[in-house]
Order: sequence, then C-alpha cells, then structure tokens
Amino acid sequence: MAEPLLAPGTPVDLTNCHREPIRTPGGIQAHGALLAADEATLEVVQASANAPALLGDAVLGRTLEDLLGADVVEQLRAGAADETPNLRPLRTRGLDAYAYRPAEGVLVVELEPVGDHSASLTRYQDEIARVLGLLQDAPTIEDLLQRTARVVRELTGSDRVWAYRFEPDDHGVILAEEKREDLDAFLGLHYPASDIPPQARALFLQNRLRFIHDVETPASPLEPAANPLTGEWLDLSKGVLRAVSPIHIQYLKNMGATASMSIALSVGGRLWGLISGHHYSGPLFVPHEVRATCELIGIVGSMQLEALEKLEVSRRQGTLATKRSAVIDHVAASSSILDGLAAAGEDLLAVCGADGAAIRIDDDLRLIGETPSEVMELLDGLAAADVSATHHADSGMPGVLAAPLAVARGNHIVWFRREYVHTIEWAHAPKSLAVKEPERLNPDGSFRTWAESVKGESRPWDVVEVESATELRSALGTFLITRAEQLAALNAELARSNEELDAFAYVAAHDLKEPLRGIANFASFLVEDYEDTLDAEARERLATITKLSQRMGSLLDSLLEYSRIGRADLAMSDFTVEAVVADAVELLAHPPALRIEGGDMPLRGDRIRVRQLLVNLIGNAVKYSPDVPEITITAQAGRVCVEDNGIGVAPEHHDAIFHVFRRLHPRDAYGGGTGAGLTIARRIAERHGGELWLERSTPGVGSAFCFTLGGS
Amino acid sequence: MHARTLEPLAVVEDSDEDFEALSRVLRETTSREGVKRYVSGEDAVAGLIGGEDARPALIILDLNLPGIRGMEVLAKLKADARLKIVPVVVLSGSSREEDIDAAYEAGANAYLSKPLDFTELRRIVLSLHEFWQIATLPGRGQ
Repeated sequence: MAEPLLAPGTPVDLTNCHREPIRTPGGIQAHGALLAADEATLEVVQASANAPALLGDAVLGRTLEDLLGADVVEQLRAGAADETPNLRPLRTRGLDAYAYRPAEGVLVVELEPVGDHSASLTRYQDEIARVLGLLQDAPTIEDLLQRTARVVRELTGSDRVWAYRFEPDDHGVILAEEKREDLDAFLGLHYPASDIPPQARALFLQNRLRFIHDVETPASPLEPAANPLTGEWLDLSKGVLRAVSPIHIQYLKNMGATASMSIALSVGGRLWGLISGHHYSGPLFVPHEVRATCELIGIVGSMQLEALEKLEVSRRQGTLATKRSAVIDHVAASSSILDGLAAAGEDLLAVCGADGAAIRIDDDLRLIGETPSEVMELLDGLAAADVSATHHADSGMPGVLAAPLAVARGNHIVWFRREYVHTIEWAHAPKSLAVKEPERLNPDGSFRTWAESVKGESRPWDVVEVESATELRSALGTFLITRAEQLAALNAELARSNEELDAFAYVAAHDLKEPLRGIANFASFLVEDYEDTLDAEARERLATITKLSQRMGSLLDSLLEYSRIGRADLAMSDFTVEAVVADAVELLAHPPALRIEGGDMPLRGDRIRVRQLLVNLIGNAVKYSPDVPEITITAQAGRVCVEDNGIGVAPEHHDAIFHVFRRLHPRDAYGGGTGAGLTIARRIAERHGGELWLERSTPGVGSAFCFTLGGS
Repeated sequence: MHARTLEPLAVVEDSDEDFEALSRVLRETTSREGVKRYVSGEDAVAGLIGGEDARPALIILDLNLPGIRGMEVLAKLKADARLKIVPVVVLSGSSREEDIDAAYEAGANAYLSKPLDFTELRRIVLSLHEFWQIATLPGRGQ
C-alpha cells in the first residue's frame, strides 16, 4: 500500500509529496541551530549552516563541551533519551537546548533562542492548572474542542486556531474555531485527506507538536548534507527545528498564513484530529514554555476526548439497549418472533436509528416504516452469516444494515436508512473531485471553497448502532432456541396427555361395558322369566332397555376403537388401492357396486387400519345414498377420494361431521350409527401422517371425501 | 360320539351379573354342583393351585379381575404341573388385539369376547360347551 519514500533531497511536488521523506529534510527552521556530534568524542561533525552565526564561532571540528560547556553537555546527554524534548529544554546562554540520538553514536543538539517574552515556568504552571481544570470540566466533545482552541489561541497569540477531527476516510472537518474577529469563519469546512500525507500523520503520533515560526525565512541546510558518521541524511523527527516541506510552505502561503502550529489529538493510538493554528501577520515565535503547555493541552485533551467518547458511546449504548429491551418485550409477549418484531414498530427502528425495517421469517415478510421497493430482491441477495452494514447500497434506500437470523432459510432483519443528500464544503477541491485547476494549490490566488453535493448515500451506521443490531440478533437467537425448546416441551406434554386421554378413554369404555352387560342381560332375564306375567307395555319397555344398551355398547365400541388408533403401533406394509378397497368391501354388510380409477396406485400403511378407514368412508357413502348408490373411488398422486351421489352435507356442517359422536340426522335414520366413523377415519389418516377431508359436497347431489397417508 | 360330562367346570369371574348370565346358560348343560366359581384371582390360585379343589375339566377365566389380574392367573395355571393340561377359555370384556394375543401367548386355549346381547352369550357358551364336550381332553386317567 504505502509507496517507498523518495530519496532525501529529491524535489517534491503535488504528485509525489505523499512520498516525501519528511523526517530527513536536510535542514532546519532558521531561527535555531543544530549541531550533530560523534557521541564517543563529542566532536561536531555536521551542523546547520547558521550555527556559527548563532553561536558566534565556527562549530565543525569543535567539541560540544568546548562550545556549550561540559556540565551542559552532560545534562543534555542524560536527557537525550527523553521521548518529548519539547517539555524539557536546557536553558543555557540565552538558548534553549534539546538533545536526541537520531542514530547509534550520533548526538544531536538543537538550539533555539529563548525569545523576547521568555517567562518563568512558574507563570505557566498557574496557566497549566487553569487550562487543565477547564478541559476537565468540558461536558461534551464539542465543548472540549472549543475550549482547547480558545486556550491555545490565548496562549500562542495565533490569529486563528481550529480543532478538527479526521473522519474515517482521513479527511478532516473543522469542529471548533477561535479567530481574530475580522477573519472569515472556516468552521464546518472539510479538508481533503491528501492535505496531510500519511507520513506526516504517523509523525504526529510520535512527536505531538509542530511549530512553523515563519514561512518566509528559508530553511538553514545541514552541512555536510549527509552525516559523516552514518553516511545518511539525519533523521530529525525527534527534534523541534525540523525544516518544513516546501510543498507545505507553499500550501500555507496560499492560505495567506505566515506561521502555523499543530498539536496532535490522539485516541486509542489513532490520530483523532489536530489543534491547528494559523497566523497571518508575520512570523510568530512561540517560546518553549508555551509550546510545552500546548503539548500538555494536547495530551490532556486527548485523554479527555477518550473519556468523553467513551461516555457518549455508553450513553448511546444505554439508549439503544432500552430500545432493544422494548423490542424483546414485544417478542416475548407475542406468539411468534415475527409478530413480536413487527409489533415493536418504532422501537425496532430505534435499535439502530433506522428509517425502516424489513423482517422475513420463513417466507413471511413484515415491513416497518420506510422501505425500498426492491426489498425482496435485496433480502434474497443476502448471503453473509454476520451482521453487515453499508451506507451506499445500490438501492432506493442506500443505508442497509442486515442481521441474518437464518441465512439458509432466508430469515433476516434488515434495517434501512434513506438517502442523505448533503453538501460538503471543501476548503479546496479534493483530487477526487477532478476539478480542473492549472495550479491546484492556488486556484485563483486564494483559497476558496468547493461545494460537493453528496448523493446516493445515507448517514453511515456507527459502531454502536451496528453493535446494537448484533446484540438484538443474539438476543433473538437465544429467544429462537428458547421458543424451540418450549415447543418441544409442549409437544412432549401434548403427546403424553393425548396418550393419557386415549388410555383413559379405553379404560372408561371398557369398564362401562361391564355394568352395561348386566343391564342388558337382566332385561333379557326379565323377558324370559316373566314372559307370561308381563303385559305388552312392560315388554316394550324392556325391549327399549335392551335396544338402548345395545346402542350404548356401540358408542363404547366406537370410543374404544378411536382410542386404540392413537395408541396402537402401525404395522406398515405396501399394497394397492384396489387391494385394500376389496378388503373393505368384503367387510360391508351390503357391498355396493364401485367404480375405481387409478386402483393400481400404491399405498403404504397399516393395511388393517386403512381398510377400516375405507369401510367407514364407503359405508357412509352407501348409508347416505339412494337405493342404487353410485360410488366412485379415484386414486391419483397419493390421494384417494370416495365420491357418492348421496344426500350431501350442508356447508354449515362441514366441520361438525368430523366431531366424534356428532350426528346430523335422527339416530335411527339412514340405518343409525354412532357418529364416530368419520372421526375414526380421519384419525387413521392422521396417524399415518396424512389427512382426511371433505373435498366437496352439495346437498342432494353428493359428497367426495379424500385422504392421504403422508409421505411414507 | 359319546358326550361326556364336562365337570367340574371352574369359572373365575368377579362380576356377579356376568356370572349369573353365564350360570343361566350353564344351567342348561351342567349341574349346579358341577360349576365351581372363584370370585377373584387370589381365590382361584388358593383353591386350584395351593388348595384341595379337584382338577377341573375346563376353566373359564375372566381377564379383568380385581387384585391378581386374569393374565397372571393364567400364567400361574399354565406354570402348574397339575393344572397346565387343563384347557383355559378366556371370556373377557376386552376385544383388544393386544389382550387377545397376550392371552394366547400365555397359553389360553380359546378367547371369547363377552357379548352385550344375552342371546349371543347363550349361543357362544352353548357352542363352547359342546365343543369341549366333543374334544378329547387330557388327564382323564387321574
């Protein structure tokens, strides 16, 4: 990805400045001087061209001790390991001195005039205490940045100070601005990412402070250009005087700036943004004490930023969690997850700040709020197993946050955000806009803004929102499992209670038969034993007792039969429709004439039970038909239908005929019966995993009952 | 064929009404003394297996008994050296296939369902009696 840096000294322009070796510029800002010594001998082997003038003497070939004094050199060497030279200068002979080691055995000392406004560090300590208190009290990130900008401007006297944040694509946006009143406001402007090349960003994480005191004074070159000890150009990144890239100088000049400064704001090891100052009224020398204070502000500001970001994140997380619980409550209160989610409505949208949502579970689709017209295609195209988010989908609604529930079954929750058409005010045209400019750094002698209208995008989903969607998905996952477990337990319970009910029905029917036999028998005994003394009425009453007993016996037999179907194992075998119909006809008291179509269709089931089913259906057809019934049995595609030309069933009774012991006719009409035949037939079909239903029926014309036996 | 007397005839039946109906038919074929009733499984086991009762020519056994179930009585009868050769006819209120199969597996010689209609009962019992009178039975030499 990163292209190799250019060789030191290579001329740079806009096309290669992202490869400029900014750590080895080969020169320093000319208000200070640099000495590079061999640490073994302390002999100065390389120096900035202006060093003799600043020190009032030749420097090359001299020793540091000779030039600065042995005690000073001793302290400088001791402090050379320090990571932040800006905070710890050594003040000597009206100069602030910093030391660092750019390479093994090389000791560099940078010297800088203390300046006209030098003040004691104690004065700044008060200032620091005040500033830190101010930053710590900032309730929001916006407030913190505003205060930071104000404080930095107060301290440095810079004409304008911004605080800006780098967006995820590294372009900057100005969030706070403090400026001289007569200057135009730049607040809210965006800067292209290319304005600060990657190597410059990286350097900010290492050396948090960058001051350019005067853009007009040329850099003072190092002599010789390459360090005699290493044979390479010196790495000046640890120092404060490092010369500025000519491209950047031009950039500043185009903005009309005469001096500038930048302070890094970092959060979690990433360059979050910069506090950036521009001066427009000549050189601005910021003394060491102020710079040190600014560096502290950058450090404390960064810490405070991190804390506030976390606070904002946790607040937002809290808000979204509340919405999620509301959604879960709805789901818990509903009979299905789908209904629960749909009922959650606005709360479901608020889980991640969406404008609309689509939920699809097992081909059942629910839409909430605003959804794109191509929602089905979009759902069908989802293949990822994880939550995914985009804010520039090629869709009617470019914001799409998808949480798959079961990809294989096409079950998803997808949130949508509508297009967010907005304008980015660029401080100057980013390269990506391909604006034609002969001299891009200086379009027409000044900076001007370029408005970019952004379309086809929604507001991006932030991390917390994506997290929230993920959380909801997990919670629903648990729910799905729980629901499945509940169903399994319920099914087991139902199966058990069905078995108990069957067992109960059996025992009840069986035990009821014993006293019933007694009643029937004793009625018979009375008739036999008192034949001569009983009058006609008494005999008739006894005959009624016998008849009623017989009827009750039939009812109990039906109940026994019904309960037995639920309990007995099926003895599965293969047979044809023809064969089992023949079995059934044999059992009928009055075998009717039948027409069979598709009789060779194979069936698989418990032949005895299927026979019973057919006996019941054919028996009914005979029972409820005219003197010459026309019964047709049609078998096709796993389904068998028994059609008759009988009395038919009125539509209002289509359900009732399947209720056990429910009769539609007086019990002696149509040859009587217990009213359990259809119930038993249906139960046999269901026991096989199939169904039995009334296909059609017209009173006076006939009925057709059909059944299947399930898959196997 | 010469008809023998099918006595003594043991009836294991707890229901008085069912026993009365059965007796009513047996009265036509067998002397009152020729029928020995046991009112429970315990009663039958105590009298037949552990007791002094004469070995019956035929046992009519109800399955639905209080206490020791009919199936258990059947198993004990068939496990007893003296009684296992005596034909056992199960006369039960149950027409459940499992009961029928289990009874034959335990050694029942016939299984009859108790009908609700007395005329039907009479027909069944008379047929039963006639058959076992005709059939050559073991153990006549005792």
